[in-house]
Amino acid sequence: MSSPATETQTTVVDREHDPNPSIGRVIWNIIYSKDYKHFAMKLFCFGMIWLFVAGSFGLALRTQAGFSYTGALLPLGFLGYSTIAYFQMMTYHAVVMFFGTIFTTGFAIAYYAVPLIRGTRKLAVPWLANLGHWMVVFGLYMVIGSNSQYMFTFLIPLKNPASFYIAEAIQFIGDEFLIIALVATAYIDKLPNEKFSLPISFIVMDCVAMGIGIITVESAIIWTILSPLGGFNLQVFSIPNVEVFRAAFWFESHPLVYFGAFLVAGLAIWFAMMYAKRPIYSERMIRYCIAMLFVLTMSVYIHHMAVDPIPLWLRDVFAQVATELIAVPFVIMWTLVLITLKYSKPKWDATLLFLVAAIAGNIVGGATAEPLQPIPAADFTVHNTMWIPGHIHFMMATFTLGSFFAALYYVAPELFGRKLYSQGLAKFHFIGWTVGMGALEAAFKVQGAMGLVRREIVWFSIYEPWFQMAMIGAWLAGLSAVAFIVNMFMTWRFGEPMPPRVLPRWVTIGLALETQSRINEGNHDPNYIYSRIPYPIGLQALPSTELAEPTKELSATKVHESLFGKLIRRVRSYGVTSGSRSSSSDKTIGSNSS
Amino acid sequence: MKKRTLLFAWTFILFLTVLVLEIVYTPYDYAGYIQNNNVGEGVAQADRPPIEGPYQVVMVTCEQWQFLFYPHVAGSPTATIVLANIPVLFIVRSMDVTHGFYVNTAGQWASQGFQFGVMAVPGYYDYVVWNFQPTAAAYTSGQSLYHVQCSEYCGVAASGLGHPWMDALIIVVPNNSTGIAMQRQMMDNNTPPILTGTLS
Repeated sequence: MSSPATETQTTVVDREHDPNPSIGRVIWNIIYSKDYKHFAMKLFCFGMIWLFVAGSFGLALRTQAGFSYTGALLPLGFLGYSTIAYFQMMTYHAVVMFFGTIFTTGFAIAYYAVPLIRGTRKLAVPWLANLGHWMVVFGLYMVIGSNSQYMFTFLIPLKNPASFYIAEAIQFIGDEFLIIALVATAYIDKLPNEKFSLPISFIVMDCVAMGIGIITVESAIIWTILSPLGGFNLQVFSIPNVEVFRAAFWFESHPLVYFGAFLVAGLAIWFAMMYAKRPIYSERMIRYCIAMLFVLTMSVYIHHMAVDPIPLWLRDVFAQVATELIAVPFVIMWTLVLITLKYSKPKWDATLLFLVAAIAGNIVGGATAEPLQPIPAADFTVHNTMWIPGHIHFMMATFTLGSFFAALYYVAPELFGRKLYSQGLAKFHFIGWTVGMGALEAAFKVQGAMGLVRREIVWFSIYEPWFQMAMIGAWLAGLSAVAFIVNMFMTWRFGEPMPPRVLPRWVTIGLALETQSRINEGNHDPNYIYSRIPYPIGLQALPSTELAEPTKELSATKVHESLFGKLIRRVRSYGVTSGSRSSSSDKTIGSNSS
Repeated sequence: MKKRTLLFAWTFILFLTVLVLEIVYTPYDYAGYIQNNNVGEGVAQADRPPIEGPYQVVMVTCEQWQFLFYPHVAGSPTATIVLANIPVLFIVRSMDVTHGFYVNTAGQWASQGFQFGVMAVPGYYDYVVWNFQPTAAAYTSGQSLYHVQCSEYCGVAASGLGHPWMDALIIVVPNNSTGIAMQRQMMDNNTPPILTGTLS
């Protein structure tokens, strides 16, 4: 006979893990995710939905422009196109791609990585994270239904529909909630001797920068709503000063260009280490770069206002100098990644291909930003031309989304517990996306240099061939994105099951390689921990012997004889097994568990 | 070389590069610098730039959806005529929403020099200087006509009415007796004043 206590236990219904949940329970589980993996999956699904929604708008725009050679103002007029609809689609494409695709997919990766790497495996404030997500969803759908044609930069004193301002306010508050919940997840149960690993350091820095920035743009939006521009006949404030409004808006909006990329920058460095099978050249330098990026990402905003009537000193300090300086940490970071990969004979799968292409995209995109302000005499020749969309697409499509794809090809199979369904589809995705977006970006750049103003619907015939090139590129990229989704779905449903692991391999190896980098640099302190999970300290403890392979193959290459090669060889601490200034006991510790 | 030294050297080189770039481009920071069509950064700003030598002045008023020049071609306020080889100071303002005063060369950028533009922000004056220098061949082939269009989206009411159709024309004539006579005739003797400036 069972005891009363046992009877009580059997009567409790475990609604969370009920094998036959009711429909209501299933819906509630989708709405309210308590588990970090579930929440990350939900964000990933919505990120892909936004990719197709925003991508569809983009394809419609490119197709319309690509057929302008027909001589018709609206070649897609039979689809109900109008000039106003054209600009509305442009607005939706920008808003949804930024705040839907990039933010949501970036959050998906971050919300999955942070609890996993730290070993806490839980969301700090799930209600806030879920609320934030659904506010973003609601806000973005409201934007799409708002009939606004004035882009996401608001362009006041043009008067948007009131629903657009409300939608943007809701969406930005939702993003702020997601950021706060993510930072809280990074800090929850933080031990006194716990430090952040590189991926989490990037994420926290990024969230703090963006969190501050969103406050300014939220203030600008609420200011507008309470003014005669808001559409509610509220005249608490007068119409905002245009220059002050633009400064407030761009103070936030420039960090968002980097927001997505910084969410995965730490992971990108981890993946570079994993593919190179060696630690990053200098972990300490990467941490200096994080600090520099934090300061500079919020200082370069005025280069969007270079031809505005603002004081020259303001442009010189915050735009000209800051825009030049922000190239420094990026160059240092990519230098460290590339010399880590150099001579390592990595396996060139989709992750590494996307990673290298993303770095290239960032370098080219960053270089094309320099004429926008650091060379002021050039800026007012290309400002507000197609040069700007070319720059933005380099930074957002090739760099940021490319980084996301690199991370997703590595992380998603582990998340699904299945091997990637098709490397062939993945490589098609890489080629289609990189070549397609590259063609579009190059076409935009040429058009900009030729003086084509952006956000236009009529133009001279000399620009038409470039529009056709952009259209072909856009459709190629769109098709490749379909291949990505198909690959992910097939992996989820039909991928070969992976052997069960307590932890994804990338987390263990990433932590180990990062630690090895600190050991090599002599700044490893065994008193600090970077994760609760057990991971090897010192590469000798890793299962693969290849990880400890020295750089002995340098002499086989011509580059080896170059000055660069000589410099590399002379750095004694570069090799894993040589030059460590740390004690030998540091290297031979088997694992670190707390 | 130790790793720390190498990294320090690399960082120093990068910062030095930024500094050198800043110094190299310093000449573009003042309006007196005139190199072909490009007269530098100080030409597009809130304060009226100091200009050395003679310059022409044209007032540009932007409103939805037209540019109004003063002085302008007689009977046509969206067209003006300026002389070549004398810098033109455009004083730009907006009467309603934000516009962009953008002069392009219709794809002839390789031969005509880059196009240029400046924002027209309500409540502010913005200044931009350009030294039009078309070649003799450009006059005969009609390439001394400069197309002006709005570069900041300012709304669309319907097809044919709105931002994409907000444009104007600048005609550049040679700075000789023939050109001056043409200018006076078409502008009904109301030509842009030519002032003389000196850099302090």
